[in-house]
Amino acid sequence: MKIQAIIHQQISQLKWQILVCVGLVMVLPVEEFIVGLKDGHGFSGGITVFIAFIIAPLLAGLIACSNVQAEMNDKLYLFWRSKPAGIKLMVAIKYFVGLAISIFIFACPVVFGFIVTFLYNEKVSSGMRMFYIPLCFVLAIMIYSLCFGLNVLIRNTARGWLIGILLTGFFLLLPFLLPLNHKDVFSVFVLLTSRYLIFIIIISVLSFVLSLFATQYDWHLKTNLKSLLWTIAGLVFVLLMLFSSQVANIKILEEKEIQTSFHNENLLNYIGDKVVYKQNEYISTNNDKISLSNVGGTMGQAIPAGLSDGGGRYNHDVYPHDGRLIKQVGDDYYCFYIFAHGGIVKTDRGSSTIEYHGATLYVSKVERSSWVLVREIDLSECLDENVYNVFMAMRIIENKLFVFVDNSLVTYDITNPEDIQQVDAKINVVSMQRYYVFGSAFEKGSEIEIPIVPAEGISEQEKIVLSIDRFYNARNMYESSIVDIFNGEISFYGYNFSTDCFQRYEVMYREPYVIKCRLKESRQSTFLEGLTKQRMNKTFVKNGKLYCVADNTLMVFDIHPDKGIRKLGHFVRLDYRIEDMAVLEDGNMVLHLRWDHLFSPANSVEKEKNYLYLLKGP
Amino acid sequence: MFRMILWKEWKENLWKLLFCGVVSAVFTIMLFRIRIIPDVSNCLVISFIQMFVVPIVYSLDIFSGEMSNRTIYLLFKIPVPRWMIFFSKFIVSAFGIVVIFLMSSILMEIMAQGREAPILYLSGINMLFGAAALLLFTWFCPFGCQSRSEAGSLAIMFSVFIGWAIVLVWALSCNVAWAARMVPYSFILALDKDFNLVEGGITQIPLFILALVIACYRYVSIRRYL
Repeated sequence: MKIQAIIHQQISQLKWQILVCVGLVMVLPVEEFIVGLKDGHGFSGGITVFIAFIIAPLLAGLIACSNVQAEMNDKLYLFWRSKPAGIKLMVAIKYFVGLAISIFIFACPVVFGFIVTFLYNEKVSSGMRMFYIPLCFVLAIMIYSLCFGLNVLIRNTARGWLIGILLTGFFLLLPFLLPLNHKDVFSVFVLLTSRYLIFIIIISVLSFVLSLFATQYDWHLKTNLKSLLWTIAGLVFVLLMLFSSQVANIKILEEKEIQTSFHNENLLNYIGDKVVYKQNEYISTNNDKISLSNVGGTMGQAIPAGLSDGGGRYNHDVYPHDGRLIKQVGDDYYCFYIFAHGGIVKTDRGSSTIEYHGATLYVSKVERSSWVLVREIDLSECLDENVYNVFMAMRIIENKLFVFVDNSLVTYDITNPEDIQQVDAKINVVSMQRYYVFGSAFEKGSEIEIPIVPAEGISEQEKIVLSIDRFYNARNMYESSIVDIFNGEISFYGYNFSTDCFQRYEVMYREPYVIKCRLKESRQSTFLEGLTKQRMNKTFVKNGKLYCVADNTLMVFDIHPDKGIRKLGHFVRLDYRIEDMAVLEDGNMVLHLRWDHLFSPANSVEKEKNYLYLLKGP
Repeated sequence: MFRMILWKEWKENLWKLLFCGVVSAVFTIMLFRIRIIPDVSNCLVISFIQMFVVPIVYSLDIFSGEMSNRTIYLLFKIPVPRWMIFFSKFIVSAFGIVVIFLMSSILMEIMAQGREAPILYLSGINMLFGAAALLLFTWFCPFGCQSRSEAGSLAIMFSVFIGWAIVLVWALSCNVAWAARMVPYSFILALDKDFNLVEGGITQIPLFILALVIACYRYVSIRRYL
């Protein structure tokens, strides 16, 4: 077969299409160039990207359709099929000639952009060179191949092109939505890496192979409008199903509206293993229904009124900031909190700030349905001079209360909270040096050191957990931990906002004053997670699962060390705010959500509603 | 005779009603169940897509189907005035569009149960989009009634969408209120309190009749198949 003659025939056949397509893709860059030349403000490379990204792939599909359709009308088709020519070779030549033309059309604005940018002494951004242009290039190949294959099969230009474009969209979205590896798309496909590009190329090659077989065996898929529309609807439905299975796959067992005047406050707290709502009602679930049972009186605010306004002093800070550290002893409930106070001073730059002078540990008790102060312990010796940001944290381990204030640790025996006894005090000796592991771009395998806290009376393991939580979970360590212990291996987890990763650090060994840890695993947020997650408010580990709560998103991960960090569940409510969450003993979750009228009609009667959601543990 | 033609069109286009109805119902139920976005946003998304998809489905072969299947020869030989043939097609399509939007608006109310928006608010939005869809389809008729292929009908329908969108953008950017009221999309503007729905409706009725008259005239004056 005369290959050169066939190529010549192909190009002659498509000459008008080539001219029109080149004209279309070059209009905007040339216009931009002329305007830039006239005004003298350079050439905008964005135009080239826009053309390459939007128009060129669509035109590639058009070239494919024109290329095939020219030979597919009834008479011509019978004519060339009757010739003693290698059909596969002929279709392959047609495919590659058309592909070369498509690449030429795609290259026109890109090369023009590069030349003009060079002439203007400007630089093409690395993002454009390394990402946008290669991706557009592969995208154009994919659309061309799909349209070519489908046209051979369907033999209808408009339908072949339409289905080709739709299938391209479907295949491009599919990797982000596939429920692979137990609901986790990320384990298989990684964004913007070679794997995704390989996926696109595989589809293109398969489509080319399909066109070869379709021609050889004379496959003809007859379509009609009805079946076409049903197919499109089916594809969209499949995509939506996959999407919802990825980001809305936690079952809601009950949604209960609640009345509360509390704002931005954690209404869900733990007393032991039980979850209490508003500090006065136990939350229990029977038959997947939320039921509230009174703890024994209305506790109300845990901070006595005299202190909540600052106790007559100008400024203060309280720990826990939002929640409550409550302990039940017999029938009595005790609440512990640290209160740091100071005055406003002027800094060297002239701005105002708070200088903390003292700190106090308060113990309150429920008496006659209200909190009554029972103990007040001065912790001012824990503070250095000129403290502008006071560090505070607390945790109860068995009958011991560990209180961190700045670089001091004071331990109390709280067997009888009304007669709280100091067991140990390490003043100004606890190191504050730390690595900002969840705000830095550490590479996998990086090693860090965490100073160990000199806590007395607890096991070595508990000491390590306390040391890790003190640095990386101080805000919530009174009620939760980021540390997981599996078969004696200690790991801690968190969300790195700098790299948008969920990370696992494992404890390697302990030295006299520090714990050596290593970044063991880093799981990048997926495309879909990135769409709904804004900032992570709370991260904690419980019963072998990692819980991450953002403003309106909850994600639950399995953190079995052998399987890596795998997503189990994802709950999203874009118009709600997750105020607080707690995990129940049976693994189900309770969420306090606040709905406001942000997206609601202006004439809506309800401006704000609060809900308790009971979610099935994934 | 008109009833028979109406029945023929009804039978021929029933699948469109079923298709749009089932797809609208499935997507409404799905989106209102997963509730990733608020109910009002869900309603807007569904209504917006319906506003374009439903007229496209109806316009694809309502006129061109007879020509591409060559049944128009038979149809024109039936002793019925041609305007009746045109109106039978239009009435069946318009009825289908109204039923689809009515059904989806009821479904939205059932699914939302007034939890985020007042009762009848979502259905109101959906019906406004439905009115826009019906007007867009009506504007397709004068241009598409002589179309000979699906691709031609599709191109005409898209031209109607884009053409009115350009008029709307111009009218809003240049603050030409009377022109904005003429645009089929103006019904959606009724979501904004500043837009007077009654004035918009009064402006639209003569335009609606005008579009129908032109379409009917063009359909009646088809010569090439005689």
